[in-house]
Amino acid sequence: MAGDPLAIAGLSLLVSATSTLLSACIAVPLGVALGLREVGSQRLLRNLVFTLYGLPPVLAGLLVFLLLSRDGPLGSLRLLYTPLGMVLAQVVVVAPIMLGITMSVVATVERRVKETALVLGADRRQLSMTVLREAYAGIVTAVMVGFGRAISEVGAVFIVGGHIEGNTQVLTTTIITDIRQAEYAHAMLIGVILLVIAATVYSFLYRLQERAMP
Amino acid sequence: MHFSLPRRWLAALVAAVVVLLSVGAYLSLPRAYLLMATTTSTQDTGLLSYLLPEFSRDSGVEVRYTAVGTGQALDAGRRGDVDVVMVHSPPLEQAFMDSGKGLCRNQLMYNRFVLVGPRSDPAGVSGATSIVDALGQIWNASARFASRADNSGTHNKELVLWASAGLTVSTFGAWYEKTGQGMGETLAIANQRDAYTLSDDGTWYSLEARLPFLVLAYGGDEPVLRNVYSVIPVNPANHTGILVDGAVAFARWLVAPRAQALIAAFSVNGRIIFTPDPIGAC
Repeated sequence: MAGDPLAIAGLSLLVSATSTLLSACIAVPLGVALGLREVGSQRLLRNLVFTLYGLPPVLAGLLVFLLLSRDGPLGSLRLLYTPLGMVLAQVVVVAPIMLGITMSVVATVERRVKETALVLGADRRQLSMTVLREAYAGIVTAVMVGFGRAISEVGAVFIVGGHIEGNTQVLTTTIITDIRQAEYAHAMLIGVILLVIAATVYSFLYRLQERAMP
Repeated sequence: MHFSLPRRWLAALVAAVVVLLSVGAYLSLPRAYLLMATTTSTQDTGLLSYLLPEFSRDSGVEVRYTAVGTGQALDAGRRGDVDVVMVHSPPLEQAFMDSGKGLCRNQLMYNRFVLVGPRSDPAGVSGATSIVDALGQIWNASARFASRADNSGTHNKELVLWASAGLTVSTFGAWYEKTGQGMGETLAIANQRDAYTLSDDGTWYSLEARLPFLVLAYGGDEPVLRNVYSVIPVNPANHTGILVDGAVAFARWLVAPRAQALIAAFSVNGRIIFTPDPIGAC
């Protein structure tokens, strides 16, 4: 099965961008909050975040699939095998990664800046603002890494999206089904598109980091 | 003492590398078993795990297989990655034979294609007089239809059936959904999305209990709905290392009376699936 490469790439970008932004809305504020405050009771929460950080995408796919399936708890929404369902699956994969990176970055910067800032007479609010300014590049990195993960992820979107041509067919799932049908040339073309998207994202990321860390 | 720790680590590392290399080398030894590429339906119905041990008992040859789409199975044969293929798409098989990639072709058996669909039967297919009539009603109603669209034997049959109904798939609207996947996945999608789909009866009967929103919509006995399976040993002229003797023995064994009797007795959830129809050419 072929399928229009541009339409497939378009849907891939749409789904991954949506899930990335949605994940950022959840993960960045939460990550900043968790990173700024060093409280003992948050240890458990942090451990949980880092466990989810390693959540295998196929497992995330299975969980979201069961959740959205017709006889599942959210079955009446009829979101299985729709782009929106795929967004949800990717959020489950991507948000913990963004959350984990944001948390680490903010905590590291906070430890580095804290003493100097307090010695210079900063109050708690000013300290937080300084930390955020310093951690900015790291937080953007977290978001970009999340996007890179989302666009290259295959297990969850295959299970939840179902790879229906012109509907939920994305770049990664197309490569899998192309190989099944021995359509190696088409698979390669799709692979190159995927590579170009990933390279663009990561070159942007590299430039950003270079500027932020002299 | 100062060097003992790193040295011990180095020894452990070397030992690990040696062990891994030996395992890799052992696994890469010339294989004694026959390798077959086949379609998912022969695996999903349980036919292979029923037949292959019997062949091994009779011949002393072990058969291992990879279950893929017909397109990929034939391509594996074309590349010489396997010794024998077992598929069910006569037009694709003919092209495979014509290109000299297959040694010979033994027809084994057939099962039937059935049309399954949502319980509510929105296209009113249950009163259809033929499969062509049923597909025409689905088209009339623009009722959702899930197509394998994966160049499999079932997909090719589906295209032939649409064509004999005088309909052109490329003009269909959004109700015609292409999954690009195997029978089990496509049935699962049809179950979730209230779609009709064409399935082989073996896969349908083996999965029926897990597809609560689907029912058998049309299951006629016309010859056009026959799904004919064949086995083709790969032509050793094109590649080295093909176990041609075992492949031919396997193809012959399958059309002999004993295997045919086994096939005739094979049932899925209490239903006989395959009708023996041997034509031996190997």
